[in-house]
Amino acid sequence: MQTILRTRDLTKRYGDKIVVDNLSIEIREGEVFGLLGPNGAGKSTTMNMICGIVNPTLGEVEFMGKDFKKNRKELLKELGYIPQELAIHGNLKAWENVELFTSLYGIKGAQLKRAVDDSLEYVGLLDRRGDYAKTFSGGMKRRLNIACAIGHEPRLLIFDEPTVGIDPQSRNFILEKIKQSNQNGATVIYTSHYMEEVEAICTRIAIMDNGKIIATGTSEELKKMVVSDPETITLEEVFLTLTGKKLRDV
Amino acid sequence: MIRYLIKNNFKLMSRSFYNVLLLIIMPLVLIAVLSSAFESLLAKYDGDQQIKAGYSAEGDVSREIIDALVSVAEENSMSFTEYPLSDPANLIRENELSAYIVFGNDTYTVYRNSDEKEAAKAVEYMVGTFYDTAAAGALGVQEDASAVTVRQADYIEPVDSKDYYGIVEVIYFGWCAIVCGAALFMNEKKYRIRKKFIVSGLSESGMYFAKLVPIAMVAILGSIISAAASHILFKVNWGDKPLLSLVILTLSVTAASAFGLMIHNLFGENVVVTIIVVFVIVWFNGYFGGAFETYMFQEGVSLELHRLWPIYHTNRALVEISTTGQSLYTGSALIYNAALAAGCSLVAVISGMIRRKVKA
Ligand SMILES: Nc1ncnc2c1ncn2[C@@H]1O[C@H](COP(=O)(O)OP(=O)(O)O)[C@@H](O)[C@H]1O
Ligand SMILES: [Mg+2]
Repeated sequence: MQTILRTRDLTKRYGDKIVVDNLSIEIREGEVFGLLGPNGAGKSTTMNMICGIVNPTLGEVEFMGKDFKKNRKELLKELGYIPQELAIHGNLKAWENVELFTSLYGIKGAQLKRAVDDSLEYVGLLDRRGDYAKTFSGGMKRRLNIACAIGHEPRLLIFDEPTVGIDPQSRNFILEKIKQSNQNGATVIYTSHYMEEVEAICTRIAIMDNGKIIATGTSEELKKMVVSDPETITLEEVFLTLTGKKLRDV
Repeated sequence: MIRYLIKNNFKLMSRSFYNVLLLIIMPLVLIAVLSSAFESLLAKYDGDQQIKAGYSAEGDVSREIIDALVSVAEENSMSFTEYPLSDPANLIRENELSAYIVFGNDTYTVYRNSDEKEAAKAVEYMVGTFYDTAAAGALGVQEDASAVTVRQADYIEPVDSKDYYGIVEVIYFGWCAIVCGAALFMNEKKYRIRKKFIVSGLSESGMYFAKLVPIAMVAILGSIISAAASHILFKVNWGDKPLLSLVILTLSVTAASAFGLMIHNLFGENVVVTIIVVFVIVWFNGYFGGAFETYMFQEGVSLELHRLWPIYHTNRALVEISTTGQSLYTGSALIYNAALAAGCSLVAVISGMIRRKVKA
């Protein structure tokens, strides 16, 4: 499989604090890559550096074989970023939100109309298209947040903890949709601190702690790092063994 | 494609309509309050009573200019009498003059009777305007010409206090255009929209103009409605050049919007700080531009200080257009406001670019 995204020695320092530490990862075209790590591991910071929201202290990002910094404008069109913190206008209706954010990628007219409806339908909000986003439940807002990032049909989708704090139905729905997007051809990066989610949808997993990747592989491979028979251990136990049991209060 | 962004920003603004309403209602309230409060002041100036002034000539000052000035003064209900050079205080007291002017070669000095401040100010204003006009050649006064033609003598026609405050308050509140944007700013901040703009590759200038266009358009519309309302409710006379007045008004509001957005960008998109800073600066702008006290009678403010502020040019242009159909300040009002709009836009976009680099 071809590499679609690669980071080299990606580092972010805030003052003396190293939040992301010499991170080099490789995402292959067509996979669902899981970035698993406790709160404060540096997952969001890594994603934000990949998208250009946060400038790296050091290191670089290569996307579709091109240097991200130098080809920003062009490469961003192939990227869909679903931020951990919701970024939708509460005082705009659902369809207006999707229209606004999709139009920023240069889509207009009838094509834009179609993209808006398709995106809303995709996240199951077509019948609520005329409602203000602020009236939505947590799960619906999360889904709208996703709809706002997929209308331009990007090749790479980055989901930053899209299931935090929502009901199980919405959560299942979102996971199904991510799988579906992947089957339709999109490469997915999925960050989470929920083991079972990552195990359920990701083809490859990296465990991140304290700004570093401490292990990468399929869930089988990761389990084998800790015990010889993967049937005898859960990913959660692998995770706790590798990252330690200290409480993370961030 | 910021067309859709502009459209949605319009929607966000219209959904907090109170801000826009403020822009229409506040000037009307102030017109009502200020025009009645200052009615007596402007009444003294409106030409019913003859103002007496004296003058002397020093050196080889041109007689043509003085004669032209005296005739203009007469048309404005001011009688100018020549006296031999002497002590201004005595002269004013003995002849019951409102003001005494000494013309020099390149300068003139106005001595004012402190018991007749308004009348004295009116004389000073008239003489100042005369010299401005003469300098611009608009009067047709030429130092060496044997014949002096006065093409335009009625340029300081008295202005009714209602007209004055009607025009000036609409302009002043147009300067508060940024309140229309407050809803927009707060929404963008609250819902963390900026980072979505960045990941979609939207440039700083795109972000800027997507705000400027709706803010300026809504504020212009608000100002036009309030100008129309001032005409209907208070019979404020905006003059017989509505198109020219509209262009000046539009440019003034555009400059104000760009200025407000620049402050917003310079102060890290903090809405509260932006509103406070803009209001303070706009207050000074209004103070020196004649929004509270008429610029003709304002004590202790030099012409240079007046001219520093864009609103002064706008006010004078519009007030003079309303009374005489023309103003020497038309050009400077247009140029100053246009330059301000362009300059503020540039600073706003650049500061956004710097912030993106530094803060990320
Ligand atoms: N702007 C910032 N300034 C200082 N520290 C930050 C900043 N952003 C994130 N951090 C710190 O970086 C660490 C990693 O944060 P984050 O990337 O959000 O972790 P995760 O997404 O894995 O939970 C945290 O300890 C957080 O406090
Ligand atoms: Mg995070």
